[in-house]
Amino acid sequence: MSPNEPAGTLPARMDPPSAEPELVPGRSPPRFGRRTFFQGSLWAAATTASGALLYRACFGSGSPAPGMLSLTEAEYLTAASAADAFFPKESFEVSAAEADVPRYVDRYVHEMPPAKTKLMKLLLRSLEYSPAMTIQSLTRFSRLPLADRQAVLRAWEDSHLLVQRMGHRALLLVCSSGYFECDAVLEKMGWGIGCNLPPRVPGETLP
Amino acid sequence: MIRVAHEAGAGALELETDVCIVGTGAGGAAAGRALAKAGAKVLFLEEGRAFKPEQFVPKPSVAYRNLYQERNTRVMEGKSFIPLPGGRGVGGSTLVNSGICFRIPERVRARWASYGLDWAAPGEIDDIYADIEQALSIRKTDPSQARGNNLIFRKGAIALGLQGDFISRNAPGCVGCGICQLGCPIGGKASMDLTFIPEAMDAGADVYTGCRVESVEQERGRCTGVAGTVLGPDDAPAGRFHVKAARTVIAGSAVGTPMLLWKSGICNRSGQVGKNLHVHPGTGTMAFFEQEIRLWDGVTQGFYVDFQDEGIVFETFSATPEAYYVIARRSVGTDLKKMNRMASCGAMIADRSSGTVRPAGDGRAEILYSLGSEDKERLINSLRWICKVYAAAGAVELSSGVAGLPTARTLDEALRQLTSDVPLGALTVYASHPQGTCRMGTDPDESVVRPDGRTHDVEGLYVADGSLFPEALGVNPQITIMALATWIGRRIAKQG
Repeated sequence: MSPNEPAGTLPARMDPPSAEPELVPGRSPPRFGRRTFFQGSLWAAATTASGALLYRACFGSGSPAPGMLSLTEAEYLTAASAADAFFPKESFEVSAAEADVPRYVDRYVHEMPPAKTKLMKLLLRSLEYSPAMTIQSLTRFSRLPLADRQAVLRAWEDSHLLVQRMGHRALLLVCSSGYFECDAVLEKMGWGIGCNLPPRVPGETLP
Repeated sequence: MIRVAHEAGAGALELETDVCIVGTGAGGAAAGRALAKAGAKVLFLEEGRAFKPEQFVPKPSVAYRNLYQERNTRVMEGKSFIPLPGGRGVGGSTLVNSGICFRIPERVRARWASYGLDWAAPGEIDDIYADIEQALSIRKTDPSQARGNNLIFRKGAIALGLQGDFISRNAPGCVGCGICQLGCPIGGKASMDLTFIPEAMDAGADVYTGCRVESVEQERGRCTGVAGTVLGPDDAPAGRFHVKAARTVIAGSAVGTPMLLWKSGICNRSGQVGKNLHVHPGTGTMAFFEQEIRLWDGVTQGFYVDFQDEGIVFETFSATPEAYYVIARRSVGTDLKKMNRMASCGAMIADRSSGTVRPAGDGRAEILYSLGSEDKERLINSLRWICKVYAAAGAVELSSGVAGLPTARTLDEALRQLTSDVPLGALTVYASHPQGTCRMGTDPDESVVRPDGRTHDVEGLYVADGSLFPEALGVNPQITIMALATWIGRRIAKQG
C-alpha cells in the first residue's frame, strides 16, 4: 500500500508475493535471534519434561513394593484402601485384609497382558488422586477415613462418565474376585463351590 | 500322542504331516477326528497346554490364569466395553463352556442354505449331527441334577406358558457341581480334550502343545505349512517350529483365525478377513426369593426358553459369587448369605450389530464392536421377560444389573425401570461365541472361504471353525461348529 492511499481502503491490485525473499545488499535476512532461540528451547524443554512427568505419573512403572509382584508401594496402598472400602471389617465377617485381597490384586495385575497392566495401574493412580474431583478433598484416597473412601468409590460408580463407571466396575470385580476366593468367606456365607470333589493331590493341581 | 513342544525339540522343531490343524477346540478337533479316521496323518498344533481333570481346582483365578484367552481379560471395545471370554488349551472353549448343545435352528439353516452353503441343506449334515450327539453322549439335563436355580426358572416359565425345556448337554458324567466355566474337575463333560482329540490320536494323530502359530507359509498360491514360536512353561518364547503339510486347516476361533490370516498377509483379496464379527450379546437378571435357591448347587445351565423367531434364547446360569456381587452389590449389601436365596437367568441374542477383529500394535487382537440400538432394545425386552418369569415363580426382589437403578421390589417397578431410555453404557452386557470373521460364501469378493471350506485365495488352506458362519447362529454353536468342521474334514479326506 502506498502512503498516499487513504487508510482503510484496499489496494486495487497486490503484487504476487515473490518466491524468494529479496536480499538487500549489506543487510542480513530476518532470522531468529539468540534470545528467541533460547526462549524457544526453554519452552520445548519444559513441555517435554512436563509431558514425560505426566506420562510417568500415568504409565510409569516404578519398582514393585517389597513382597509384591507388580504394584508399587503407592499402588498397593491404593488397592488395599479400595479393597478395605469395599469389604470393611466393620461390616463383613471377614475383611478384605483378612481375605488377602490386596495381594490378590497385585498378582492379578502382574498376570494381565502388559497393555492392561498399564491401564490397571493408571486406574489405581487416578483413584488415588481423585478425592479432589469427587469429594472436594485434597487428601489422597489411601489416607482418607473409611466413610470418605466409600464416598469416593460411590462417586466413581455413579459418575456420568462411562470410563469412570467402568473403572469402578473393574476395580470392584478384581477385589471381589480376590475376596470370594477366600475359603473363609465362602464358608461364612454358606456358598458351596465345587460340590464334593475328590481330594486334590497337592502339587498336581494348576497354579 | 500329546507332546509338549518345548520338551520335544530344542531350539527349532521341524515337523512334516499330511494335514496340519491349527487349534484343538470344537472346530479343529472335529476336523482332525474326521481326517484321522479317514486315514490321513494329522498333526494338531495348540498354543495352550493339555490338562487333566484332576488338575482343576474350583478357583476362578486358577481357571482364568490357565484356561482362558488373555487370562479372561479380553473385551470388545466400542461404545462400551463388552467382555468376550474364550478358552485356551487342548479342547479350546469346550474346556470352559457349559456343554450346551443345540442343532442349527431350522430358520437359520434355510437362510444359510439359500446363500449357497451346501452343508446347511438337509442331508449329510443331519447324519453328522447324529454321529456327534452319539459320540459326545448328548442328552437332556436330568431334573434331579438341575436343582434349585434351573427348577425355579422352569416354574415361572411354565406359569407363563412359555416354550422351554431342559437343556441338552454333552456332559454324561455331570453331577451338578455348577462350575463348568472353571474346567470340569471330574471329567464329566465330554469336552474335545476327552473325546475327539483322543479318538483322533487313536487313529494316529499327534498333538503338539505350546505352539503359537504365527504365519501360514505358501509357494505360488499354495499353502505349504505353518511356522511359529514354541512357548515355554511360562508362555515365554522358547524356540521356533516349522510344520510342512500338504494341507492346513485353521481352526483358531473367530478371533484367532482372522488374526493368523492378517499376520500372514493372505486370503484378504475380498477385504473381508476380520470383518463381519458377530457374537451373542447377553445380559441377565438376578432374582431373590424367600426360600434358599443355592444356585451353585446343580447344573450350571440346565433350562432354556426359546424365542427363535426373534433370535433370542433365555438360559439359566450359575457363576462364581464375584460375578453376582459386582452386579447386585447394592441389593446384597453386607448380608452375603442373601446370595443363597438368589437365582439367575441370562438372555442371549443373535446380534444384528457387527464388529471387526484386527491386530493391535502389541500383536494382540483388537476387537471393535458396538452394540446397535436395535440389539440394545432386544436385550432390554429380554430382561423384562425374565423379570416376568421370576415374578411368576414368586421372586421378592429383581435386579437386572442396570447401573444407577435400585433393586425392584415388585414386577411393576422392574418393568418401569427397564425402558428404552436405559443407556447402553448402563446395561451389564457380556458376549460369547464369536463368529463370522472369515465368512463362507460363493462370491470371492464378499467372502474369505469357499462353501467347501477351502479359502478362496490359497490352495491347500482351509478354515474350520465358527469364523465361517455368515451371521450369528442364535444358539450355542459348539455342535454346529463340530458338524461343519467334520463335513469339511470329510471333503478334505475325499480330495486325497
